[in-house]
Amino acid sequence: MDTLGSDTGGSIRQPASLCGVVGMKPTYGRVSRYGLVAYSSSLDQIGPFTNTVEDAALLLQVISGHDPQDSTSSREKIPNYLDKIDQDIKGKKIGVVKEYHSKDLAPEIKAKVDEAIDKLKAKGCEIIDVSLPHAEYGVPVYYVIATAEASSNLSRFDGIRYGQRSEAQSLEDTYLQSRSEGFGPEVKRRVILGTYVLSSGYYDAYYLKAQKVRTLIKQDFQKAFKEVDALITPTSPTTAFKIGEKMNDPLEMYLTDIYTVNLNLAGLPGISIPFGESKEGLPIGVQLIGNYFHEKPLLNIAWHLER
Amino acid sequence: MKYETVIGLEVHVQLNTKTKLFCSCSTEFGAEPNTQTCPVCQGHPGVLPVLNERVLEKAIQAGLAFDCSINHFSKFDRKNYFYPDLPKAYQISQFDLPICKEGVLNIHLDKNGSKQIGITRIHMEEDAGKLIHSESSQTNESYVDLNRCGVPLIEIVSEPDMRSGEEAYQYLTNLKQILMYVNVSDCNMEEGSLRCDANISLRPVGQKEFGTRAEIKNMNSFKGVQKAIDYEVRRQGRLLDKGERIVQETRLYNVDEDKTYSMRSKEEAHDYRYFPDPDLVPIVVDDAIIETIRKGLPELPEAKRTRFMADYQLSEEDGKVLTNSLEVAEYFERAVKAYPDNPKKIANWIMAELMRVLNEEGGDLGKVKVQATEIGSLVQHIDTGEVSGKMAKTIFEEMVKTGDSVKQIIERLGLKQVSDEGELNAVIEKVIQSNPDPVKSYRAGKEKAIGFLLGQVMKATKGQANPQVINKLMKDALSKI
Repeated sequence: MDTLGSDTGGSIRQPASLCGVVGMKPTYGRVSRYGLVAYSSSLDQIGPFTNTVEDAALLLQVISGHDPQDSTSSREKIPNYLDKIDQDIKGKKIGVVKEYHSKDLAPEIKAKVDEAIDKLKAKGCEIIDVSLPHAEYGVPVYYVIATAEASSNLSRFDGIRYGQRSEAQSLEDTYLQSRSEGFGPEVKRRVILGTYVLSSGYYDAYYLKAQKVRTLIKQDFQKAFKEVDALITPTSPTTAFKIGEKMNDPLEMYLTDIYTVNLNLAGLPGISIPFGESKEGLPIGVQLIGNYFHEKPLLNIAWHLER
Repeated sequence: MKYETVIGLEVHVQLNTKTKLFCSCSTEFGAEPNTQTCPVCQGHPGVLPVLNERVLEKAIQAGLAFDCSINHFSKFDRKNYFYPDLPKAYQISQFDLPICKEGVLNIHLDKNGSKQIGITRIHMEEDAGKLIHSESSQTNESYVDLNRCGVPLIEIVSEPDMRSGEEAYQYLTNLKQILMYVNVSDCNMEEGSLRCDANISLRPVGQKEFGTRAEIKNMNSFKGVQKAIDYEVRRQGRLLDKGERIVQETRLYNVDEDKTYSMRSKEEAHDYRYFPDPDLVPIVVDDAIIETIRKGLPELPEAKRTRFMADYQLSEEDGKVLTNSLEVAEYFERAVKAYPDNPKKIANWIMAELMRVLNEEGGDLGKVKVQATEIGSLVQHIDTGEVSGKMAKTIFEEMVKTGDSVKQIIERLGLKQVSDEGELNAVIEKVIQSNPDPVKSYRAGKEKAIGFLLGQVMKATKGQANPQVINKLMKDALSKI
């Protein structure tokens, strides 16, 4: 069984990890965004949810490629993802991110990532410690950029052409009431935040600063990929939480994206593979990150981890 | 106190591409509401814009025509605001990296010769839709027509270099002329394909700092712009004289009252929250592309006028009239090509006769049946004496009606002028013999009597005798009696 999802800050990999399935976010531009209701245009990417790595390769094959209706889709050649997916990974260099693999990481999850690292080692991979010094800024940068773009993308739902229309006496009241009634609290929170960071007087301090840090995050990865073929990290800092559990603490919820958002900011591909369970029997996933358009080698390593 | 007026203009020009800026819908004017729309220009959730490369090309053409430098790296930004004619609730425009910057436009003034007006920038953007408000006040409904939504515009922003309404008028006139020459817009103000906003401020003569400005909108003709500026100069002058402060605001011009009214002040102004549009990739233009476009540009009005004056010995005024529109200039040159010996006379025929017909046809040269090459031919026939000036007028009127060639008309109407001396001498001899009295008067010193005799020759030849030739032959014949 295969399905598609959209991943802006981890919305494919994170739930895949929590539910024990494979989830992949391809390189930004690998898959057309035409038809996807935009949340954050520079971060959104479509990708597969599947039971196995092979299925992810098959589905990715179908959805990849340039789309004349999406200027941000890439013309990069599409390899055959399934071909030699099982080939030997001996000698591959795998990076372990110092900043992620720290004592702050929940022991249960750290143990699983370590297990995965040992498995790759056993298959002949070389394990190398790497540093992503700006990784810690990923979540705040993400919440500035994503909400800025979302505030603009969601403004078309103003009750005139799209979205719920609330009957009001004036045009301004129509806008105010339609949007107040039509959007839920989390969306409103993000629209307000995004509007704020783009406002004149705050743009430089928030949006522009975030874009600059985004470049630094990207450069961290580029530096790392000069030394390694892929990075291995946790997908989520926790196992699945109860429905609504984190709704009252948006900040804590935002922090669950800590291992996933940086890929979206950098535009890199990543895949989450189920790798065992917690004591409570909840799935734990590990994430592999590849260089731009290196989905094929990523799938190859993931295939070995899966077994 | 004496004030200096400072004016800067923002002109929105609709580009004449077949399709819209980010989708392939038609840009044709006047279609049924909402028939030229698609999910992209309607801003459906999930759609994405794709740049129409012809728009980029035309924007660069316009920039080069005004001697702008072209930004090698440029991008689109979103201008966010809510309005029912803007379904996405943002307009895709260019903010800090416009496609063109730092150009100039020369204007000619009767009193002060010519003057250079700086062009700050030219950027590309999409137009919004149109609201149609119901005519009955009871129903209180408004309708949205999205046909214009996504139509490509360029906004041309001038430096605050103009000092009077007249200069602004000249600027607009020349701007339009150049845009029409490079064929990027039809500049039809009535259909809204050219719109102008004016920023006006006053400052005491000699002061360097600008005064507080007002932005005037809603002018629908170049003369209207001039009059709105003139009004605004008087209004601001009166306020300053009274020691009052000018409010920075947007004002609307009311053409019927010839007055401007406050629309919104700066305090209420929008914060458009511009940011780079993440749905579009940056625009990268290299020198090779710019040079290819530059090579494709037509000769511009000023250069053409200078060349016409030099090549065809035309006065500055004639050069100006003939190069006013590219169509007429090309018409003139086609006529001269057909008969290169007398460009001045061809120019006169075009300026006097053809322009009259052109005006009658509403300025549409395509509707004028007279072929340019036939104007050349007509002048040639006059110069060789084959037709008289009077016959030429008849032939021209016939060409206006039928579009036939000079030769066809001469043949059909039997209008050939007789210049053959032998043939004409025979007629003259007969006229002298049968009109002894006028002959006697002439010989007695009444030179006017020759007019009657020449009239008789014309009558006998059905008006086809060459007047200069018979004048000479008649005088010779009379002196020999």
